Amino acid sequence: MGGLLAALTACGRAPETADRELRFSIQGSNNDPALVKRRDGYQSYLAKVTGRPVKLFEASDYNGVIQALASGQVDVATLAGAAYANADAQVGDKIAPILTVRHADGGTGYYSALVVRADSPYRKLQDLRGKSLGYVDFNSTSGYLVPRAKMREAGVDPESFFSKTSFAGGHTQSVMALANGQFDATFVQVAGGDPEHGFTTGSIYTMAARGLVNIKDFRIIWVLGPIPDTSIVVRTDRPQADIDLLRGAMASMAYDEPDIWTGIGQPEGSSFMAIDRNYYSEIIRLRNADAAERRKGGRPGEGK
Amino acid sequence: MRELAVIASIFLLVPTAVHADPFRLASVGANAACRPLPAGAPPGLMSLHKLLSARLGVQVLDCPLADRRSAAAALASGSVDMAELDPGSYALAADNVRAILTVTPTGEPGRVPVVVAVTVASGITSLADLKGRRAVFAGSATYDFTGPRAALSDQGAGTGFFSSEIKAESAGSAAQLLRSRGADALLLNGDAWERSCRGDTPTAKPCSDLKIVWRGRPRAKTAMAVRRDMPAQIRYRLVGIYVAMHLESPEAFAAASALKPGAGSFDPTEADALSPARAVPSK
Repeated sequence: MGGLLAALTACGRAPETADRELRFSIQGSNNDPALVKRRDGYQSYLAKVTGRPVKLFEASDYNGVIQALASGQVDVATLAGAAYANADAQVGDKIAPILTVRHADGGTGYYSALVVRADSPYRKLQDLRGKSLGYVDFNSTSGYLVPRAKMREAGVDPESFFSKTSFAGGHTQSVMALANGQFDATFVQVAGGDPEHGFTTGSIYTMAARGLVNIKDFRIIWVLGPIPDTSIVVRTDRPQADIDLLRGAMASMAYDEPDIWTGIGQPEGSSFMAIDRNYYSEIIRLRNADAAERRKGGRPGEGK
Repeated sequence: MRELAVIASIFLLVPTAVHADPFRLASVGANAACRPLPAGAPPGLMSLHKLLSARLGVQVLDCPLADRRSAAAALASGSVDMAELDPGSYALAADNVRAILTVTPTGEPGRVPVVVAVTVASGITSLADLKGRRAVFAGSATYDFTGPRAALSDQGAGTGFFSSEIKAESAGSAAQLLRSRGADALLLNGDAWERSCRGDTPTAKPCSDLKIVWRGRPRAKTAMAVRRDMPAQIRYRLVGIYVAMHLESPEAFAAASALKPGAGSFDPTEADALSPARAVPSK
């Protein structure tokens, strides 16, 4: 056994590389306690199990994470589908998604919800003709890419249907802007359930749990999904032994450290499962289609 | 350019293992000394050994052993590095070995944690206290029932342990039955418990009148096991290779999971996943 261990250490994790820091990026605001908790949880866990210092690269928006990963400034990042599709278009197989969360019931993914204020008269998408819509971010899957594709499928041209569209900059900002009357509707992520049984997580629910908004002030009028979930994405030009170690350590987290797993906000009974680029094939297709549509009709928010 | 230099420097720092000890993978069916797979070995097995050898950077040997009990003994003595065990064989070597991987069937849930809850007012403090009492499952779907039933059977609370077992429509109606004293114990998957007991406001505590008296995952039927003293970094590398095997080398995965019908992927597992008398702390 000792010989094997020495051999494996020598071949994949030499003492000289053991001190090289692991650079990790996760998008989000320091004002979001849930995000800070998750980020800190990953950092301390990875430092413990890899035996290496873990440096967090903080990015306030999706594009910051994409650029950090695409340029090689970081080794690993969490990216949602649309952001991955964007990065994939830039650097191709220099990056790869390796893990996503599998729910307790064996399913994966989350949903996008079209949300309006509960005191508004809007009950369905068609009621929003000529009204204002807030998107989360150009690189958001549930707050931009999928809603636009599904609106087109429903016969609604997102470029002309609304009087105005704008980007809030994040899911939290979208909910706050909706609550403050800055626009009439917004698409945000919802999870922890399904359309039949309702949802328990996502920005509206986590903000309500923090006392920032009242859940009763909102109404969901359209649900889209399930959408391929956020994933752990790595630079493929890093040593394979390091990628295997990272994937194994992250995948083991729900089992070896269940308190940390749920403590960082992952649902009880969920765990990471391995994925590859095929997991996002539909999102990549939607992104390319949306890019083509935008080339024809201009970017949302421009003059609308 | 700077990026290329950094990447190149990383690879230069990783020495090549030339005269390394092999990785010894147990197989069950016959007794023989560890050796490289013979030329006529099944292609899937060849793919598995090739993948492991390439990723671990060492030679991989096949170590045939008569049965899982022999494999457990070989693991415990350090004469193999990884073997598939079941609860019975694991029990023989539990002090020295741990589970690291199980196989999950395609599209099915993993081994989800199960919760047994009672009302605080009931005075019940353990699973044993519930013998002969009435249980209610939180939902009638297969998923709502199978996991909790299996986990409790592992703990000696199989069919007949409770005086009655009710399947409620939902977690909400099950909790209502518990609170109205129509049942003594609420049995549900951990995710259902979490959804039921998470409030919508900072002060909401919808389950403050309930308490958990047992929680744990169903015991695994089989698992890949290694020695407990295997360094974590090597164990995680093995896990990292195996969990993606169905994507990266389906042929190797088919060989590695050969005895599991409908196998979808390898999943990591907790150290005591095979323990037949697992003590699970409640919280």
